[in-house]
Amino acid sequence: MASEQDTHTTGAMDAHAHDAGGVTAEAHAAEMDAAHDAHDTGGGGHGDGHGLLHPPLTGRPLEHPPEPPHFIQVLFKKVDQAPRIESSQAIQDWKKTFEKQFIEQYTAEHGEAPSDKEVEGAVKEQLSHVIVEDWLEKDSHGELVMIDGEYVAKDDEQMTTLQLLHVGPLEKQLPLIGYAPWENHVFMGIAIVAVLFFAWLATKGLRRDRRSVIRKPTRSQVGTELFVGAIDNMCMGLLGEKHARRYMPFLGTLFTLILLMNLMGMVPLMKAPTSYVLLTLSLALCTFFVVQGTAWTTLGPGSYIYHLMGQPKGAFGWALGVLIFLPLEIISDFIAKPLSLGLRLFGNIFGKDVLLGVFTVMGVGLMSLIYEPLSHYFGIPLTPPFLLLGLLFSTLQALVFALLSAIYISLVLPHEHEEEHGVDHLEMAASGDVLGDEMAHDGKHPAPSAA
Amino acid sequence: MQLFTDVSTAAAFALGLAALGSALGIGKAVSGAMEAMGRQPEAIGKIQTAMIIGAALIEALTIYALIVALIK
Repeated sequence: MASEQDTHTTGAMDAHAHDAGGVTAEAHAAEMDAAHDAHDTGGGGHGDGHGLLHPPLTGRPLEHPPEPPHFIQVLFKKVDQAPRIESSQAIQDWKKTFEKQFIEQYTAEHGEAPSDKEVEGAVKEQLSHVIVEDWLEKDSHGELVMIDGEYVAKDDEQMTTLQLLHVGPLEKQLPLIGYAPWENHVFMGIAIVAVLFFAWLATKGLRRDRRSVIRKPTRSQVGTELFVGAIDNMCMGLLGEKHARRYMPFLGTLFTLILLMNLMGMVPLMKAPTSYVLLTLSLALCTFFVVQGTAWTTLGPGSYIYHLMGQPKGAFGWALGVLIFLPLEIISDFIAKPLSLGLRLFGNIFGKDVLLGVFTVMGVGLMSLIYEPLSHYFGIPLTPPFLLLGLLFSTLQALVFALLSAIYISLVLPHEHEEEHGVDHLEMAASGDVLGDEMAHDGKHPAPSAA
Repeated sequence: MQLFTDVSTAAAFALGLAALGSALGIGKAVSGAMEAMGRQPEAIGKIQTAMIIGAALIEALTIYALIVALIK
């Protein structure tokens, strides 16, 4: 504290070398405030060639908004912990020059080198009085620049969107090391625990008695059986009855996990971890491994490559197969399908987040046009339609991910001959009929047995 | 002709174009699905499932354009 006051007095003394005489420290402090105000109204210290403001910083003084109430501060606390983006080169150059001059000045005044804290304090004090917008690059896209604990901004609206989302710029999500928001991992952990709990819940009644088949099922078991039955019907319809049971756990878990993670984005104070691009890409990678694993193990390597080439028969077929179908299928299987799976889910959920953020900011902006003090705490609710849209797309994209994975698996499974039309599982799944007793069937086919 | 001097203008235009393409495609797909549902009401469940999957696949292309626009 005392050192900073010394800094202040030193600055004031040097800025007004012509005006001030030998005065006490307190009078200096008071005069310094007045002097700074005079400075600002005089054009922001422009052209004051002597003293510590050389080279001078241009810009208008920063108006601090009133401090929001505590719960909003807590909500947006992560804004202050957003990643530090490098300040522009010009500011860093100015900083170097200023620091050198300040050290020289301080040493001349006090006969000893200033501590780092004093230098930092002087820099901070200089920067806190201006908005450095003149010095940011033109195509900064409204980037948020954090300079010594103070946010200076060129385009307030654009930055506030990203602040609210606490996502960070997209190009920082892509590197494998570096910026990875901790919320994604925590919320994915919560989703995994929920899926495990759901699995436990679904088999609670079965575990109670090992000998008999079915006692009176509990309510939770009946509820989860509806859900599991729907997934079972979907898998059987797509994969065929022979293979469905092998892949149903994977597909069911995938669907439930993605559904829960997407729905977390709709809960206040939570964030959908699927809005993190590396997470959706790793989910697609899981599907990729399952698909390739079944292809290479059930079909066999040679047969699989033959299958990729489209099962060529004659010379023309072979030429076509090797030259066209094989590269096409390789690119499709290894690059296009996993990427499209992951990016589809990511784009939908992240886009929904950005959309909600933009409309929230727009609501706050509208409120500031109507009644400005209230806009510091509330905004006009423009988001409900997009919340509903987000709810729709969250569930839809989870379903699409699981369905597409099932389809990709079914493409590499060995094709069987046409089986007799027993029970149409997809129709059962789509109409929500788990046990098959609502479906209209003629007397020829027996009713499908439960389990 | 200097139409796109700014990245954001180009991004917005690209997104609009992608939305146009996907809207045409989804319209065609859904209209086919509606027609089939009208012909065979008992197959509505299957057709609905296939229609949703098709719409999501076509929509994905617009989402790719959105991702590129967000990066820029």
